[in-house]
Amino acid sequence: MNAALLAFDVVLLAGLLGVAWRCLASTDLFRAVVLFITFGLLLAIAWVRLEAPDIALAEAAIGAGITGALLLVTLERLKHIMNPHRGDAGPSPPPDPVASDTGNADAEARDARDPGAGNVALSCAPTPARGRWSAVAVSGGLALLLMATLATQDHGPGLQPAVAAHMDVSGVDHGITAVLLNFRAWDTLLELAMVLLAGLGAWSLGRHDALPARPAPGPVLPGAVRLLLPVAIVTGVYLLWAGSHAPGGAFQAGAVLGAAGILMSLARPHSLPDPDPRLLRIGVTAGALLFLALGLWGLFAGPALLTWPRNLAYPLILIIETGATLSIALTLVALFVGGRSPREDA
Amino acid sequence: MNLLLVTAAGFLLLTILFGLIRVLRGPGSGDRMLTAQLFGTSGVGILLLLGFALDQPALVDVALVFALLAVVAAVAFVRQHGLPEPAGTPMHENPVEEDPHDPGHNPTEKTHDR
Amino acid sequence: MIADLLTAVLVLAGLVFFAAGTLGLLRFPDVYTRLHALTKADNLGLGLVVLGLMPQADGPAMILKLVLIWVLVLAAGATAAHMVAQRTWTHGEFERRE
Repeated sequence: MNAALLAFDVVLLAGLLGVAWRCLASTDLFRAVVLFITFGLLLAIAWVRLEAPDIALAEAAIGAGITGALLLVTLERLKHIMNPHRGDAGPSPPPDPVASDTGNADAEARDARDPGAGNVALSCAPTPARGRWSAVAVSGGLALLLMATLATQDHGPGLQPAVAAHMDVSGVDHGITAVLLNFRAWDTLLELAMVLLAGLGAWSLGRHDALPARPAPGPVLPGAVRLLLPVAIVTGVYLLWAGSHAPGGAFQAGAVLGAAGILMSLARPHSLPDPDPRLLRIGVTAGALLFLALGLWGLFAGPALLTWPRNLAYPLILIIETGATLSIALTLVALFVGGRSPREDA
Repeated sequence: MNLLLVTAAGFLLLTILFGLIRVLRGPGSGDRMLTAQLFGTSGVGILLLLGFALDQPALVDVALVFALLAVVAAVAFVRQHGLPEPAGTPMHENPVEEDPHDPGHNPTEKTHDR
Repeated sequence: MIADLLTAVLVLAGLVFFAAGTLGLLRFPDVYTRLHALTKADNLGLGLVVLGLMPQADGPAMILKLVLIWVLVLAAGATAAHMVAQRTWTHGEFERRE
């Protein structure tokens, strides 16, 4: 059994290193993207083997659902930006939708005659051979350094006994959730603020344009989306609920719901119907604001800032996680769409 | 029994690594995308086998998330190629959602969420 | 005991189909035939693995979850295969220059 697991780990490690190397060394960007998707899958299995199913869940949702779609759509936009034949469409989100649409139609007509033209600018020259040996030397040195650090590290039990001893005051039955939302609530609040900042950063860059694409014809895609979306929503709520006693929680649930939103925006002909910008802002900030407000309430009514009274811990954690799930999902979709809603400036 | 399940998971991992040859060789982007799809199926199998072998029911949830979201990358791949169809393309007769920039677009045919 | 035997037989049968799928992926001549290798052999392989794991499941909830996973993979595989085939048929294979 242990020998089999060891063999599995060795193959997994070799696969991870090999895929990472081919992904970085690939001269074809599309191939690099597919290798990166594969890397995400192997990484999720690696987290499983490191006995971190919570991170494996998050990696599965983000790796399978979000980064792949994000990179593929980015690749398509790069084509629009870098292809000299398509210069008339303009590199930035088009300020005037009418003008850019005619430009795209022009470029599309040209592309139909020469389908390979879009890929010319998207492959890069291979690295010169003399750079490789210094790269190998540097990585070898780094690997030695890492091994030395690991060898000298004290493999004690860490903080696990401390967490286990205080589980009864945490309000939940899963150690990771107890740490994230009770013992180290500060860190989680700052993580939510980071997600919010990323969303604000994308919005501050400009308006979002329609995805440069047309829908796949035929009934298959809408049918599949009609089947998958309800299951995705139930799965997201289930993961949120499971977080109190098993791997799961706000980040995983938010990532699953965000991926569902991305799937919806990909399957529709243009983009999602723009929600009221005010509602969207409330939704995106809800998680961090709710967390902060309840944390401040803890300062006055409870033991200290960002701590919960023992008997109220479970409902408070559930409220915070629900708000955080909503905000994370909305922010991920907003990041994918990339930019403010045109209605903001209208 | 657990030994068998772990060995089976290792076998599936090997099939993924062999499948990588197809990703590297291509030749078409459709080949590469489909291979990534295959890795999703094998990955679900690995996670299920490991979940039962190591008695970690949470891994079934990880597999569920993978199965649920496996299609997103493929949809993004198809969606990204915003080119008009060449003449003579077999198309579905009744497009569910029309593109208004389509030549021959008829607004009365447009159906919203059914 | 019988449950364990059933699991062993079904999981091993599933592995055969996974191996066949990978072999087809590597050996078949063009993208349309490779598509068959992937979406049929592999989904059947996963179905057998899921069926084989069912006797080991500790309750109807887990069995339902296993079935749901298989149905989702079937739907995803069918959708992806259809869309990739359609895209290749209408737009060609693109990156031929290698």
